[in-house]
Amino acid sequence: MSSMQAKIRLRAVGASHAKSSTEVRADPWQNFEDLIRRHHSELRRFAHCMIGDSAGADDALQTAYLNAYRAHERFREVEGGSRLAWLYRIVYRSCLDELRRGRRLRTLNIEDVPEPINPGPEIDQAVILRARLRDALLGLPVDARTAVLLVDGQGFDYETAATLLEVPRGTIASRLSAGRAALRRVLDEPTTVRSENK
Amino acid sequence: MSSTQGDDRDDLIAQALADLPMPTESPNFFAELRARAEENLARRGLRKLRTLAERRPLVAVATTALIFASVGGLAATFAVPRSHAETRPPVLAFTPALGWNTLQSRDPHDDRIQFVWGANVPFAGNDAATGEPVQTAKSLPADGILIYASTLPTIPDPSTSGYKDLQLPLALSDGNFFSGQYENQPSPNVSEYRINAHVNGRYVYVEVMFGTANPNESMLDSAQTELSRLFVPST
Repeated sequence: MSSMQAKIRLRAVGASHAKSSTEVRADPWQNFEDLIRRHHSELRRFAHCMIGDSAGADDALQTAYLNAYRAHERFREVEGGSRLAWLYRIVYRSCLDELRRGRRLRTLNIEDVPEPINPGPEIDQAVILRARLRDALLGLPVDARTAVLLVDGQGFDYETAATLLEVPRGTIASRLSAGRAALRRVLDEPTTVRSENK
Repeated sequence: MSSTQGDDRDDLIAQALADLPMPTESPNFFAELRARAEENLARRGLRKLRTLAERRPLVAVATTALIFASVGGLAATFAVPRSHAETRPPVLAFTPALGWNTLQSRDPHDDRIQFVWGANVPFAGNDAATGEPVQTAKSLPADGILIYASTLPTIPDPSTSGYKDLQLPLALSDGNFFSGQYENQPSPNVSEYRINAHVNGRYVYVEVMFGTANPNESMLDSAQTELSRLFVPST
């Protein structure tokens, strides 16, 4: 080993001399992943209810998380509920993109919500209800669906949902009212199995 | 449940939505996400390093164009300011990668002597402050990897020093493997590859340390991947 090399080979022998312009960079991902893992379950539910299929929802979530990570410096500055709302906004936008890409963005009117399904008699009533609700939810215009999912599904208040979607509070109330009315129709309908022969 | 829960909920709909079944999540969701993030980060980091390395030629081209464009004596009225970034030379660095901590430093008396470290474990003790991961090397866990690289301005006798003319990316196979007991071993459990290379006009000394005497294939692959991210600026 040359003398220069021995000199440069500093840390193994514990030599310590001051260095200038030291720059330390920690693993840039781990803290961010820890953060999103805390909210992942509810964000995943939101994305799945928005899109309606597993693969599309997971794609939208991954894209949203990557977008959030790119802006994670800003992400760190936003605290508490606002930070969560900010993350929801990114996921929401990603879901919209995914819906557009998959041509799943529906422009149905509330009145166009599909008729409840007519399953076989062996299916449990709770299963029937869930299937109807899911169909009704996915049949809602995306604005109404988002409002219902944020306020009723995720528990945001009107103000936060309005901020998140960047619309006035009254718009949220209006979309919510329309969405709820459609879902109520499904929930209030008896789930007894109808038979064509009766 | 959201942290901003309000009283605006319709309880019946809320319960019905909560009862909707969710498909089982892929166990690879976060692994895939991390891989995508790493890919994005590496692309951006590489672009940044390339930009840094190419800054000087670009400035020269821009200056030349300015001179040609300023026929009629206008050139004399323009001065091209040298920004701080332009005067700062490119440095020895690792392209950023997820899962790797890096630390760069320079000799306070000679800018040509530069150091960079990359570790798949957090830097131990006071290493981040001192700029020398001595404790990290000594306390390297069995699956830990620590890579150290430095540039030397000159070496005593290039013809006999064993510094091979190489090109980036460097490979573990370019060096010699030490295990068991060897000179300057940070800790008895540590093994390492040592690479002496003459790259881009610089003499570079690299050590790739493992927290075990027998690194497995996965560790070797991981070390090679990080070693491939080592950027040595041209002289």
